[in-house]
Amino acid sequence: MRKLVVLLFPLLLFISGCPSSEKSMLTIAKDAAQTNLSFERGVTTVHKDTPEYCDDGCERTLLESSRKIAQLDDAAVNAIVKTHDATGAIAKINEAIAAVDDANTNGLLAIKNENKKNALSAILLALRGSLVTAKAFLSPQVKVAP
Amino acid sequence: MTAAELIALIKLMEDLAPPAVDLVRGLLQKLQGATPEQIAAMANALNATAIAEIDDELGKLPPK
Repeated sequence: MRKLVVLLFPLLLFISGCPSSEKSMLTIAKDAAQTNLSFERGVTTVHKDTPEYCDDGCERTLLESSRKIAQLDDAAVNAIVKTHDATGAIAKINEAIAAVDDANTNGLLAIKNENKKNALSAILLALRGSLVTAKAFLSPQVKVAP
Repeated sequence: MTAAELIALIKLMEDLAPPAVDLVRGLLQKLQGATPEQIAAMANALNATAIAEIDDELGKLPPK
């Protein structure tokens, strides 16, 4: 029986496919897209329900940040799935992280309610975590400058 | 090898090496899961939805 297992286990590994860091990165990038969608809807809801806390300028600033993050996340996904370009994907993810940080430190200042600001900040922090994780999956393939 | 045969093999292995069984179960889940292209398509769709909703919402705002 033990010999059977020794013989068949490599075959199982072969037919099951090796774990892919790219697939993991894509899964996390999909989660990031979902979280960004939640952020965008959160901003729209705050603006619609309580315009005194987030005026037109506030909504415009935050939605433009969200659109930039969506475009960069999309570019990172395409760099991986179309050309397996880990370096290009990491560059896009870094830009997305910078956009998240800018939205969190500057963009959210426009919201004049601490609870709503904190709620949106929590979504942005979750989004940042996803992006950092997605980058980490690609890092073994590319040397990332500290 | 079919999924049923793989499961039968896992059952055979259970007495021998539980960690290996867990590994094979994980691999089976990956085998049954979405392909990278499918996951990328889902991410693209979510980002496209966000961008479309943002453009729609920005279109409702008065010009700067």
